[in-house]
Amino acid sequence: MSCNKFQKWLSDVLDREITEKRQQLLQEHLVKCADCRAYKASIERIQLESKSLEKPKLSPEYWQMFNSRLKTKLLSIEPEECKSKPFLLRWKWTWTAAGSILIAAVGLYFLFFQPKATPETYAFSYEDALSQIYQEIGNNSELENSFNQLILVSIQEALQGNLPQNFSDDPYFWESLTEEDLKFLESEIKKESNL
Amino acid sequence: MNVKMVELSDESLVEVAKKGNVDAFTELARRYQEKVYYTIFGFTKNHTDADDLAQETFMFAYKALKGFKQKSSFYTWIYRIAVNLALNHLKKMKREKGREELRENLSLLEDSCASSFSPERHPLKRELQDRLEKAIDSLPLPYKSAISLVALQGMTHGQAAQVLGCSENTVSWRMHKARKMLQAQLKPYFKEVKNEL
Repeated sequence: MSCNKFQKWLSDVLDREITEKRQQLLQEHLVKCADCRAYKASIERIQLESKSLEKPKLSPEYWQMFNSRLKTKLLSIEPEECKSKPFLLRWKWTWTAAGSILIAAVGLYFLFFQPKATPETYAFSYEDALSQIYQEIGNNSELENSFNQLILVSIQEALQGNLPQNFSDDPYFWESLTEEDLKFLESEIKKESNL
Repeated sequence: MNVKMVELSDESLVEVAKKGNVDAFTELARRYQEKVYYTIFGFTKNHTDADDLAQETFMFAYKALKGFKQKSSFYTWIYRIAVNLALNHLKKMKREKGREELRENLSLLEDSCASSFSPERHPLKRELQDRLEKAIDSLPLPYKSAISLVALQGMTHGQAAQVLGCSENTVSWRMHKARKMLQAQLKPYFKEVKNEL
């Protein structure tokens, strides 16, 4: 156990807030630890001096005057000033209500107005990027053929081992496919495009 | 003072005072005015401010009495008001007033008894107390509050926790950290005075 823990207990001892078990462990530690013994002496001294810090000694007459002044002030208070606040105006309830409304508003915002993911989000997924492209091609067969041709060339380059050293310059998703997969893909595209 | 009022318990006085009986409330104030004053004085170190804030504490309590549900004792409730007012005052003041002002104020007190400032006191002991007072004043407010209530006013951790609106464990740790800070500040001085007192 660290000295800090024992020093916390030393503080508790001064306030008479320690269990017997801890008191016993503390005594055992103090026998062994000179730092904690010195710390104990310091905080005991602080405690002692704190008790005798100077404060005004006020006479019984002063306290009588204090009470009389207070009574005069209390008598001048209008009864309206002493009314307790209506339930809904109490701060505790006001803050609780405000917090609940805020949470509900944030919840509704995310439920109904959550912004849709932008197309850029999909750029990192090859499959989704392709589906976006096919969506844009739509029924335009000329565009579709050109795109298939482009893919085919790229596959052939991959099969011939002509791909650039840095794949990130030519980021097609089939770069990670096996030769067998690539050949299958090539034949399918050729079939589909009547090439 | 109404004899009947003196005999009533705090709880009964609160009930009577809630109906607008000023005598009942001044009896409650009489019971706790010294404790409230000295608690506030522990924060302000200034008689005028402590007196004003103590009066303000009771005025505030009287106005808010109808909302007091007696879930805690009147004693705890009034302490909580006093501590909050004192802390707000300190925050407003930004920095606390110096000891010189305290002494000036004390010398102006007409009804004060013989002062505890004694010229015969050992000058080193006096200096140590000055340093200790400054060190307590320099503590962050949560630690100063804990020290003020527990070490100076003699409250238990549980009572201080109720007044400060935190857990007993928090008070316990604040006391430990406050003592560590005080010890660190006064450590060099302890060595100086060790053999002279």
